Amino acid sequence: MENRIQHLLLTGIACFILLWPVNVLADDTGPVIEPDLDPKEFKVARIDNEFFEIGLSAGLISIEDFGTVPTYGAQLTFHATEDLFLQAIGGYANATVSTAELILGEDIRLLNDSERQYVYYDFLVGLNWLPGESFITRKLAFKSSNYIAGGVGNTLFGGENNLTWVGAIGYKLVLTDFMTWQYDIRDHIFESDLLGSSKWVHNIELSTGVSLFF
Amino acid sequence: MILSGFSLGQVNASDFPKGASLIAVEAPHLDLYTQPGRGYPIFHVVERGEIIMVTRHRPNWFEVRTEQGLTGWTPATQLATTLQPTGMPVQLPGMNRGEFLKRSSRIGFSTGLMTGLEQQDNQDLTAQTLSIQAGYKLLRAIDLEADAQQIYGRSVYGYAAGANILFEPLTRGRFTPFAAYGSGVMAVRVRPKLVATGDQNYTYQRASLGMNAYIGINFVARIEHQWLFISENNISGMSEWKIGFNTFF
Repeated sequence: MENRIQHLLLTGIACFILLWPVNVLADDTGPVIEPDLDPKEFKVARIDNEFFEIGLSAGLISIEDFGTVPTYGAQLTFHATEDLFLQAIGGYANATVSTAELILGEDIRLLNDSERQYVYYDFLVGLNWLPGESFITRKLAFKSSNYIAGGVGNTLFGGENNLTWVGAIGYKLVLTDFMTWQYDIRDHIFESDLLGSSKWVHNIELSTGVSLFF
Repeated sequence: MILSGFSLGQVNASDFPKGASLIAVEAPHLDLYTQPGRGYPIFHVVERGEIIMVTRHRPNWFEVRTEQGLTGWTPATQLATTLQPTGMPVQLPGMNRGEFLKRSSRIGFSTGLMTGLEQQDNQDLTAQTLSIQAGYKLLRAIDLEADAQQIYGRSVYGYAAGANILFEPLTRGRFTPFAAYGSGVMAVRVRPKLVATGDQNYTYQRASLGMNAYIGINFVARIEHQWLFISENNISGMSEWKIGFNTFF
């Protein structure tokens, strides 16, 4: 019913405007009243979604049989919920000579320089646990959390790709609302036959880094 | 990352910037926490009817600003019962799984065991695999997916890449089954320490059945079994078990 009345009214107004003599409108010299309308706009708001975290890290990795060396890496984290996250990590290190090579002397090398490069990437699923607040001084406190993570990855070492199981445990401190500082211990476990017989190796990494939410 | 929510600029809260995401609190009250995390203290309570502005979104939490200029974090579950100033329910991002199921992107990784790729003494050996995948929900029940895979066999290693079309008919429930069909290419190399025979390239078709387990709103654990068919060579009976994690965004 309403629609019909609206339709009739609108049709009537449209006919009235269309049929109104044009010269009458043009000759109208009276004061023009500008409508003071505040246009009602629907705007699309921008809510800043902060689900991703990107960071750089540095630390030490103990490459089994090949010494402990500095390692550098980068990570991208996607926070799915308050507690769960997915993380992709990439890093590299340069292994030193193995104990066997040290004993055998300088003439014998098991790996050449390029094979000594240790390059890895890992995919982890993690859980923030024991969330809380850490007090640096009596008055200065930061939001903090421990986390555990596990997953799989690839390690290129000795010219071979190895499927790698990764376990990590760490701690992070939220320095500002967009920046965190963390340190963690990660174990890279894979089956290697670099030194003749096949064995499971544990390459434990201790690293620290800073990451940014975006 | 910016997502959008709808807003109306004509609210008698002149302190808020134009175009801000303003909503009226419909729940009896809204707790404001100092930080986005459970266990943090509640420092303010917003009463029903007050207008608030939503500024940031973290997983499970929204940062809001009150008319008095107070800023705090509120759990997403509390905001779910609030209204826009127009009286319409709020459609904030990340509130329900249905929203992700409509149209979303997905990334994830998986690891698996592949049988049939290599044999020793007429026995199938099992190769391990590592995959990353990205998907896009084309329709409510149809997904397109691409994946890249590394294969670690005892005597061979290789790479594979492919695309799938996924059919996931159920959109409710914690566990939802799916079926997939796809195709891809695989390059397999004998490990350098053995006799070098060069690369072998295959094109494969695959069919799979699997199950998604939804953990939270946008986190999925996935298990599937794939059957691979390679026509070029007389390789038959290849199959793979895969387990992995995916997340929507």
